[in-house]
Amino acid sequence: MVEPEFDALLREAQGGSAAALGALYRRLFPAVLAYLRARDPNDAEDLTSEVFLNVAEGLQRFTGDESSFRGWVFTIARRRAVDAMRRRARRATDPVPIESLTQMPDKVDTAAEATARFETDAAAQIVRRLPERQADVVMLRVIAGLSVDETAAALRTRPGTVRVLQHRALRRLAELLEEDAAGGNPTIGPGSV
Amino acid sequence: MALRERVIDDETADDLLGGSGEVPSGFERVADLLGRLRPREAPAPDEVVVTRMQAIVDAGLTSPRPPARWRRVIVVGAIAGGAVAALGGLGAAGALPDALQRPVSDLLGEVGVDAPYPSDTADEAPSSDEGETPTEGDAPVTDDVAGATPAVPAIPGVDGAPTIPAVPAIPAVPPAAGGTPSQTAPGQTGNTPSATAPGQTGDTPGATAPGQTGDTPGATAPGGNK
Repeated sequence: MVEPEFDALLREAQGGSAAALGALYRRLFPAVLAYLRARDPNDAEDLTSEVFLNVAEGLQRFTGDESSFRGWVFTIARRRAVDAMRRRARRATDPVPIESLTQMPDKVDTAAEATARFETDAAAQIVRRLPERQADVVMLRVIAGLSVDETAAALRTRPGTVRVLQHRALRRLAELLEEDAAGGNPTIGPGSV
Repeated sequence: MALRERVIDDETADDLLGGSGEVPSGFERVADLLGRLRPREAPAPDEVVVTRMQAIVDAGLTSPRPPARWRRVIVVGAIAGGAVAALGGLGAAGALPDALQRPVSDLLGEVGVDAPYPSDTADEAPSSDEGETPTEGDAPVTDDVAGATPAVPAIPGVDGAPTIPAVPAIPAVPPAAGGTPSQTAPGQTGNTPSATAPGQTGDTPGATAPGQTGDTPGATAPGGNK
């Protein structure tokens, strides 16, 4: 998408256009959901809705280009994820509503989708073994598809820091995978899920 | 592979994370993991969220709220204003503890509000308790009534004379005419000498008949006490 198109879309969305709001939402929804699932698969759907409602609340005050917008949306997403983790840490138990159990078969329609989802979840589990900032950089860059600058904006840090973090994360991931393979635990691969 | 050998440049790292370009040696498993991490399914967006987003944006357009920074200023200002009003009100009423009352009185005095000092309230309280037992230092004793009503101020019309409502019961003088049970002699003052001059009777001139005493001003009427 080129800049003028985004600018016009943003202006229309700020004016309350349902079509423009829907376009912004549909554009970022898959990445936000995938990012939140990778961070914490428990409440990802609810958190994604919460993120976009927060976006709507702050939309009037937002100024910037599409890159800034993506960074801003993922800043909100990360904060909501951190809030959810804190809430869960305070709870002694993690109750699962019965409705979610009855809805599970509908959400995973085919075996292929289920396999893909499990593989993604298994990969995310390994990334979560990284230090939090490194894991965030990997998730934002790979899952959300953000650039270095957008990732820096989302994490409220400098692009140079993001580069350092991603180098460390990649090296650490290589070590972790090597250790798992050496220990007879191929965490990623057809036999691992 | 040793850690030293896994050093990659920025471009290679970007390619690895973006899923493009050649995979550098030692990062094959990482590239495979990152490939599995990328979402392949495209979940259906929840259109209800769009409706709710529109409602929120519309609400913001119709009733724009002040920016968060100004909301904070307004809230803090309201709290501070409430605290000042409460403190001022209590200070003006003299209901604050002594430690607070004095500075608040000073401050209120600066803006022209006469608030009592802790010492004022401390002086006033005992006076009501000691009203019937005046001390010698309170007022000079006049010679003409010294034998009958000691410690009763006999300086007429002097402002600031202490109010001594009751005269000690000393039956030195026969009761005055009119059958009033007063223990003051004719020509003497009533219970509040500061309000009456010698020769007058009653606490409230005009409320009692000449020659009568006025212990109970509200109950006396021309013609005698009931």
